[in-house]
Amino acid sequence: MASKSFGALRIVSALLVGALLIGCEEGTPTLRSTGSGSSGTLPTPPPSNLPPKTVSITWTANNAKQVGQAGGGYLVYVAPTSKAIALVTPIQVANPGNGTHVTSTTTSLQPGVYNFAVKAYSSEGTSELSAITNFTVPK
Amino acid sequence: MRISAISKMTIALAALTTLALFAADVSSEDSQIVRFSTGANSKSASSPPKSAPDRILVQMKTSGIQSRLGHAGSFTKAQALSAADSAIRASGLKLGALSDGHAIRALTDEGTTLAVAIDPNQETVESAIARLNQNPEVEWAQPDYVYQKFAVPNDTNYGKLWGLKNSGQVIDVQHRFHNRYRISVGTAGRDMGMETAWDKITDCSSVVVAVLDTGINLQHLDLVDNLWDDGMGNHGYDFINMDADPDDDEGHGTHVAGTIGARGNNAIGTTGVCWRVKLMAVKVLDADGIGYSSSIVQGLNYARTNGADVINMSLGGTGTPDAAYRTAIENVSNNGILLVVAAGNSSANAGATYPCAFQVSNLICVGAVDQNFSRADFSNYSTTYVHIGAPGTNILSSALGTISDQVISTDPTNWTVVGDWNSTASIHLQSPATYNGTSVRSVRNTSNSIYRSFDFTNAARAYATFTFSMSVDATDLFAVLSSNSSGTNPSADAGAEVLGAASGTAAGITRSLEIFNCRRSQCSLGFDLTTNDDDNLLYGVRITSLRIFSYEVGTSGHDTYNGTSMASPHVAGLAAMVKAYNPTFTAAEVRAAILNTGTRNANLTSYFQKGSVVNAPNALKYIPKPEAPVVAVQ
Repeated sequence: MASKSFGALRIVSALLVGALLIGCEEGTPTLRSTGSGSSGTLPTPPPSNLPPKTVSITWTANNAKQVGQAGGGYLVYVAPTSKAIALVTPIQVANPGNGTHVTSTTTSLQPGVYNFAVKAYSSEGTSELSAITNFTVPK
Repeated sequence: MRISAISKMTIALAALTTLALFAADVSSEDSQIVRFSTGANSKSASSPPKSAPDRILVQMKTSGIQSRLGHAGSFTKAQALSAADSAIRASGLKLGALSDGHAIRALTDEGTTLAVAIDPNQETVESAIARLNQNPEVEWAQPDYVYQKFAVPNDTNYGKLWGLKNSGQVIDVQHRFHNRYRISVGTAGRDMGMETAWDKITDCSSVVVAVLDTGINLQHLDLVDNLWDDGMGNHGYDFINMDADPDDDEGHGTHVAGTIGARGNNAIGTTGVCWRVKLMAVKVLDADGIGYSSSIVQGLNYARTNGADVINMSLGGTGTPDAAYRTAIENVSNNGILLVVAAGNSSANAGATYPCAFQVSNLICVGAVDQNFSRADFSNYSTTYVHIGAPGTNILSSALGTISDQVISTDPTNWTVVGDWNSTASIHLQSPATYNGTSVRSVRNTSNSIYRSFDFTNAARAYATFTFSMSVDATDLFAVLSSNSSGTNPSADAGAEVLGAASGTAAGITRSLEIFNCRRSQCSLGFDLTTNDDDNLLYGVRITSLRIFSYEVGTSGHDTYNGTSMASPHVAGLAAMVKAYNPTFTAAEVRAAILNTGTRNANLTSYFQKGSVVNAPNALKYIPKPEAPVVAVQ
């Protein structure tokens, strides 16, 4: 029994990875793990019939001068809690290059629990990933 | 008299261990049994264009050339160029003309790497690249990037500043008072990378750096244009003499200030890490380099309330942490000011060295490295308290003045002799006259002295450097003394200062002693051999050379020092640069930019917390970690 359950979980996990990478490139992850898997049962299928919600993500402008200049901006990471956040493709928010900063973005998400984090970048590199904000998108 | 003078010296030495500046005396002399106190012009740093606006570079695929030529074999440069021309024109590019009049030129003999002119009125570099990257015959297209020489200041001594640019040069200059560090040549590239950093920024004049030290030579030509001003013509404050004239009377603070911000690219002297900056002179150490908690607390308070962004403290002490000092340091840190402090020169764990061991949040404790990025052997260390390393050996910087170097004749006709001293042309000064270089029985229970006057009225510091041999019974004494009264025998002056005293046997020893009590005065310098017992042992002293060095206070001197005192200002200067480059950085962000981007060196990991040496261009690239985002449903 245990052996069968782990085999099924591996298959589901592999599917999730592919789906999430595609979904996050568009900022709209459409699949997430809603089951813990520890019970030995298959994860609950995503409630695809529920309407997505528009979620706003805001952050503080970075103090590094280059981030506000041409080639600078922010990378916004959104991932279901079952997924390592550093593995998803971030939403790129480019600054206009005149010293001003864009410090928010929105994305459409299905109800569920997500982790959010931000990196700043410039033409010369990126920052470390911010601390993670855990947020539940309600039904 | 002698006991009193020696006690005074002992007290002075004890004080040094409490709050002393951190320039290292790295004497390489064998102490043996002698125990003396020892005393280009450059381009503009503005942002250049990043690429040529009217041309791009293109790499053609070999298969594309072959396809156009109709065969899979080899081709000539001319054939490749012709085929490429057709392919590029087929892409619809709006072509212009290169300097030779052609639209396309081959850059290599193969003819597949090309410079392609575009008409900037009809085509941008970006659109041209996008157009060609859609052509399957093209491997890649890119801008023709601009490269240029790195910013190099034209200061005459720039080539000696290995910490800023290490070319593997030998540093063997102007070691008059401080012995040259045992390693005088290093490894090219082991430096702070300043030439790359200066391409981004040289002007840190938006930043105020307070130098808590012995003051600053306010007339020094390399510093005068970078001095902070309080709006009333004052450049800081003197908490030793309690007035608004923080002029240096020791030299240490001037040297430190020069490393932070000697005016760069002014065709004289040296350059600091910052070519332009605002240096606030806060004098908290006296002419001997000694200060007290009271002075330092006031100095910290002054810097905090007068707008300092960075405070350099090339000073410290060991012992019990004092509450007044800690409170002042915490107040500075809590007010968003970055403290950069020296780790100390005892080659010991810095866990009991303050202010390093206070461990406040906005503080960087700096150890010293040599020209190979190894820990300088005098530098304190600790993977807890010492955060990072910076250049600290053989550091050339601004000095209090120019150095006068006089070879003093030891002909006794220039000297006043009291007792049994004599000279010959070959032997020079010796006592007794019958001393044979190894042994003689002197007249017992006598004091023999020889002295002469020197004019140090314009000397901020003076040193006697002499070579001697001696054979002196352990219960007797050979001494060097000075009196600040011209024409007076120091041996008979109750106020004389004992510069050094020794007994035992030695040969060919050279010592350099600072003549503390003769600064800015007429002075008598004397040697004394006193036998005060009645044994039958042998006595004698011979002095074979004598030189007098003095800092004649001036406006253009430079000198080379060793110490964590010299490492700390390299970091303070970099902190000013990072702050100037990123004006909204907090002190914590400046600190993180410096500590997280150093050049790692495996042999430093057991000595400094970061196991690295500060790196300026990397620090300028640093991007702080963002705060966690805020998320809401709209």
